[in-house]
Amino acid sequence: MTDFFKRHNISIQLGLLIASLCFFSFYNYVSQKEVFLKQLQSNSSDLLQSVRSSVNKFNSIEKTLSLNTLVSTISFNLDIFEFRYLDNNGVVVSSMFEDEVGKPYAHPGIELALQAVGDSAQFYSMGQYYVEERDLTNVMAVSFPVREDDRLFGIIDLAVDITDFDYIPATSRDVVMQRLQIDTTNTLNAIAGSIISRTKVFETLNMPDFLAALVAQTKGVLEVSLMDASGLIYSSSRSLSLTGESLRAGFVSGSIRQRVDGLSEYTLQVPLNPQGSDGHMMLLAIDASDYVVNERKLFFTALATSLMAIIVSVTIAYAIYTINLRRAREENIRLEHMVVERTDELRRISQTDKLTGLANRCHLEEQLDIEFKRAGRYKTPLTLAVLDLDFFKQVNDVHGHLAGDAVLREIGSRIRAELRETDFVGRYGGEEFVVIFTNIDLPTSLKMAEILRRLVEGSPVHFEGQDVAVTASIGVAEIKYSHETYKTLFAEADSALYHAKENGRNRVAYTEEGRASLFVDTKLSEL
Amino acid sequence: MRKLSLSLLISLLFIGQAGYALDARIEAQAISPNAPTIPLKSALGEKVFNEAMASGKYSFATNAKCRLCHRDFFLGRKQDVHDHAFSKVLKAGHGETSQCFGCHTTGYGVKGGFKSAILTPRLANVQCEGCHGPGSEHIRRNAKGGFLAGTDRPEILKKMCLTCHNQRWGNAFDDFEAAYDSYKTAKPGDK
Repeated sequence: MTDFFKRHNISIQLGLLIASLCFFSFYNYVSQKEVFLKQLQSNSSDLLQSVRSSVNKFNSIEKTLSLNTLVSTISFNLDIFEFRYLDNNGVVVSSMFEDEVGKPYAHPGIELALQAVGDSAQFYSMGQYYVEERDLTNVMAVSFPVREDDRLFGIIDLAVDITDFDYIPATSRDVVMQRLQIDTTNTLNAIAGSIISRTKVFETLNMPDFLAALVAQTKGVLEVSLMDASGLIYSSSRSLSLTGESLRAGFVSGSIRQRVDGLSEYTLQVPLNPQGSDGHMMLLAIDASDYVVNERKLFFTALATSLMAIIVSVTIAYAIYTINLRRAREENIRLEHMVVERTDELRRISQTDKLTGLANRCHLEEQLDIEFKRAGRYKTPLTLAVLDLDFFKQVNDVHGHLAGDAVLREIGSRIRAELRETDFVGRYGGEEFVVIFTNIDLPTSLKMAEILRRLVEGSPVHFEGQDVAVTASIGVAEIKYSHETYKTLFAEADSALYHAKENGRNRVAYTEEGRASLFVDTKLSEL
Repeated sequence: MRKLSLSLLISLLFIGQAGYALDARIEAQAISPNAPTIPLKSALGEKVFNEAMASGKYSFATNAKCRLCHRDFFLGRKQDVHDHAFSKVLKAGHGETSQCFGCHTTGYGVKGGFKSAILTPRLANVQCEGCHGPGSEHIRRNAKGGFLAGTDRPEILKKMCLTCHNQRWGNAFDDFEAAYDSYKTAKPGDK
C-alpha cells in the first residue's frame, strides 16, 4: 500500500490538486448560486407582498366598497355613532362592526324601508329621521335609500350621537337638531353618490382586467392567477378563454422554468389571504431571466476553472515525467560509462606489471596463448624472445633495490619504445622480459633481439647521479608444427637463453630443431 | 352646658338643610384658589406628563371609538356611576366650576381634553380615557398597550383612582383593592 503511494506520489498530489480545485470552483458556483437565489427570493417576496396587498385591496374595495374609510373622510365633523351599508336585500355590506357583515340587519327602520321599495308612493318618503337609544346612547338615526331613478342600490343605516344635547339649553335644541339633520343629509347624499359610482365601476371592471393591468404596470411580474380552494383558476392576468387553459400544468411553487416566450419564470403559489382561511391561492410568475443568465455564467466559469485546473495539472505532470525520464536516461548512460571505465581500469590493473607498466606474467601468458593459436591457425610465423638481465643481483646488492627497480623500469621502456605496434612485451618475473614477435620469421626476430641486446648494453641507466651499466642475454625460438602448446615454444626460448648465459652472457641465442646456438650477425655487429 | 346646647343648635341648623350636608366641602372646593387636581399629571408625575404631552402622540378619541372594539365595556360603563359624574356636577349647580372638572370629566387640564360642556360635550363624565389617558396611540397601534395609564401599568392606574378617590372625597368604597378588581369586568355593578 505504502509502496503504491510512494510510486504514484506525484500522480496522487496532482489528482488531489485537480479534485480540490474542481471542488472549490463547484463550491463557489453553488454558494454564489445560492446567493442569487436568495436575492431572487427576497425580490419575489417583496413583489409578492405588493401584488397580494393590491389584489386584496381590490377584493376588499369590490366587496365592501371601502365605505368605512369613505365615511370617516366625508363625515363633515358629524359625530357618527353607527354606519351600515346594506344591499337591496337588507344584508350588511359594510359596517363599523365587522361581525355584522354578510348578515341581514334587523331593525324596524330598515324593514320599513325595504317594504317601501315595492310601494312607489312610500319609496320617495324614505329617509325620515328618528331619535332612539342605541347602546344606551341617544342617537338621531336614519334609513337612507341609495338610489338612482328607480334603481335601489342599497340602504344606508346611519346613527349620529346626540348625547351632547343634554348640555344644550332646551330652547335651542330644535334649531340645533334641524342643522344637524341638514348636515347629515348632505353627508348621506355625498356617500350615496360615491357608492353609486363605485358600484358602477366594479360592474364594468372585473378581476382579470385588474390583474392584467397590475401585471402590466408591475415590473418583474409576468403573471398573476387566482385559484379557489378546489384548485380551479377563476381569475388570471392571462386570458383564459384565449388559451383554453384552466390550470397551467407543472406549476410548482418555488421553481424556475423556461417559458414559451423565451423568458424564465420563478413561480410561487401562496394563500391569497395571509391568514389563508378561505383556501384561495395566488399563483405568481416572476421574471427570473436575470437569475438564469447569471446562474449560467457562473456555471460556465466553474466549468472553465475546472478544465483549466485539469489542463494545467496534466501539463505539469507531463513536464515532470519528461524531465524525470531524461534524467534517468542520462544517469543510466553515466553509470554505464563508469562501469566500462572501471572494468577497463580493473583489466588494466590485472594485466599490468606495477613496476614497469608492461604486461604482467598472467597477461603475457594469455597473449602468448592467443598469438600461438592464431599463428597455428593462420600458418603465420611467430617468434618468442626471452630477455634476462645479466648479474642483476649484483645491481641490487651494489646500488640498492631502488636502483634495481629503476633499471627494470628503464629497460622495459627502452624495449617497448623500440618494438612495433604489433609486437608484445611483458615482464615475466624478476629481471626477465618476454617479447612476442608476430608475423616475423626467426632471422628477422634474431636481428630484432640483437637490436634489443645492444639497446640494453648501449647506455647505462642513470639513477640518482649513478650510472648503472647492465647487459642482457636473450633466447629466441620460433613456432613449429611440432609445438603442441606455447609452453613448448617458451621452453625452447628458455633453453636458448640458458645457452646464451652459458656462453658468456650479453648475447643472443636461439633454438632450432631442438638445438641451441648463438646468434652472430656480422652486419649488425658493425652497426 | 351652654357650649353643648350651642353646638346642638348649630347641628340642628345643618340637619335642617339635610340635602346640602356635603355642600361645605363642595363650596370650599368651588372657591379654592388652588388649581384643580389633574389626575393624569399627578399619577405620572409632572416630568413624564409634560414629555407625553409634548410628544404629540396623545389625543382623546371619546368612548364612541372605544365602543367599536370594546362594546361590552362601553355598555357596562354606560350604566356605571362614572358615566354620570358630570350630571352630578350639573345637579349641584356647578356646571361651569372648573374646580370640579378634574375629577368629573374626561381629560380636563390635558391637551385636547374636556374644556367645557358647550365646547367639548362628548368628553363630559369620566369615560374610558378619563382613567386610562388619551387613547389615540392605542387606536393607532391596533393592539394591546399604548395608554399612559393602561392596565399594564397598575401602579399608575391605581394612582389615577386614588387622586380623585382621596381622603377628602373618596367615600365610595371601603376596600380599594376589591373595588379596583371589580372594575376589571365590563360591568362593575354586577356582583
